[in-house]
Amino acid sequence: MRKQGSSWGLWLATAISALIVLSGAYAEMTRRPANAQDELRIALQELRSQVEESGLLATHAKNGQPPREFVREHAHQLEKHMQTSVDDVRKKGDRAGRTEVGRDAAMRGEDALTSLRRLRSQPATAATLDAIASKMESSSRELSRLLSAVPQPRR
Amino acid sequence: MKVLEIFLGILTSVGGFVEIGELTFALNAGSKFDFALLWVVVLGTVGIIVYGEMAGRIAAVRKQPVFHLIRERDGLTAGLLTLIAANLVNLLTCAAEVGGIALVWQLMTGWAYRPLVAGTFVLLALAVWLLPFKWIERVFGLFGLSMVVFVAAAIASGPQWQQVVGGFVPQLPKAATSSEMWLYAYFAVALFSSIVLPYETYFYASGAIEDRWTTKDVNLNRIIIIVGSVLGSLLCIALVVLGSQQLSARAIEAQLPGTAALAAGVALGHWALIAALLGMLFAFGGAAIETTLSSAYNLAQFFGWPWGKFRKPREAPRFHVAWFVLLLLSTLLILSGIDPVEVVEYSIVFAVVTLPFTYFPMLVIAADKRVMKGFANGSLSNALGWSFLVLTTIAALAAIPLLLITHGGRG
Repeated sequence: MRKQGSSWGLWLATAISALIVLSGAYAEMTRRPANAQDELRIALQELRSQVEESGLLATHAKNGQPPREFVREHAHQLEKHMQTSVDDVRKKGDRAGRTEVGRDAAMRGEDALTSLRRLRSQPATAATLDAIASKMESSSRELSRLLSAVPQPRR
Repeated sequence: MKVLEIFLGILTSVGGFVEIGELTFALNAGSKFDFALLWVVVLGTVGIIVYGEMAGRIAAVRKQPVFHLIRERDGLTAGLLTLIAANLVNLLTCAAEVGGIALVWQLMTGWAYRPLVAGTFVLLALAVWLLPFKWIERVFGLFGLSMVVFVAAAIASGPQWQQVVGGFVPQLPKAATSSEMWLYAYFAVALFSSIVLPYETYFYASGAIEDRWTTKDVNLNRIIIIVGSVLGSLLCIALVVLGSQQLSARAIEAQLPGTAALAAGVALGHWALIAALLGMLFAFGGAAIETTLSSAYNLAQFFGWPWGKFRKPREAPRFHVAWFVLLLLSTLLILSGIDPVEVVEYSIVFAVVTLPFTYFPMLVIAADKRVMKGFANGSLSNALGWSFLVLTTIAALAAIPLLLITHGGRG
């Protein structure tokens, strides 16, 4: 029984493995060379997502009274991701020949980071939380504007 | 007694249904495509029911777990490749869960991340070492039920129910660019994979043998897997809905477990946020233990070593060393600084690649009337089994190209 099972099982398993490897290799070969514009667009989207989430956190900190630990630590975890994204947009803006877009986005990201640190460092008043949320909103709007200046991919 | 066993079995299946991969992909599927991927949740749930039921039935009737069958039916070479691939995926999944637990724990306590990763390792190792198999399932499954808060949060966030129902019909996103279509396909494959993760069948079949199931438990198996998976899939649906309602308008991509808790908190308030954190802590903990034990089961079953939580370490030394080493390696991987959510993305995509190799031998045995006698697959099980084998093979073929084309699902 084992031998019979092995013979066609092995055949099928080998065929599927070969197809998986071939499809991966084909996709890699036909993939467009790393497109600097795409990389910049993705980095901008990620930064905007983190800025938006920070705004949502600030608004919730004001309206929902979540535990202080949660607000501080979620802001801390977001800050690490945002710092990486800020460095990314700067680098990828240069690489895409859109230094200005990268620089402006990084500047907005730095502003958002400063606000995020305020959210982290102290139990903030309602007015401070409002100010942080509104700063995040304006940064996100600006990032959306910069994002629209980067061409959308066509595949 | 039987009723209590069924009830507990169902509850633990529900509590253990969602892990960090499914949480991330379900939220992001909702955030990026609103309800358009809900049909994938249904498809994945049917898939896990079909193959989970077969795995449990084979274990009850023949007392043979999945990797024993893989070696028997696929042969040594293909079986060994499947073993290596399955355990690598388990390692990545376990690492992601360990990192996820530490991140959630940090949100609750404010302690530093790396010591929390080490603490997670110690607590998980103690839980596996000290708790009997049934209690591992119950503790993590029952506390993981706090995840039900996501269902309440999804309802409270007030979705348009007509649109939600429309999401259960297979569809393509409206007015999408070709790049969005690729991303949609990537999320469909990844969400499907996150529901039918192969470790779930390895663990379920091995667990049936640990619990000493017999042919009398075939119906128990059926009830637990069907009801548990259907109720568990409601959690996944709720996460898609929550992603759409709370994250989509702001184009937020969930990159941290805290994003899920925040979405629940925004919808339902303070206590929902705390329940979500607790639920994630236990759900990720359960998944970390299941993946680490699964790897040890796989190795022992493939090489014919004595195995089982019911055996003392001196009776099954290689099995006990194997789970400990896998848990340690997963922890070291996370301590190296790698981002748990990034690990999740790769583990989910590579998991789908191993699925056909896991499902094929199970289907062959479960359909074999000489082996399974009166418990062999009926025509419905066979039809569903073959359909899902074809589907998982297509998903396995598409997974890596889609990962490359969509820059790892980023766009």
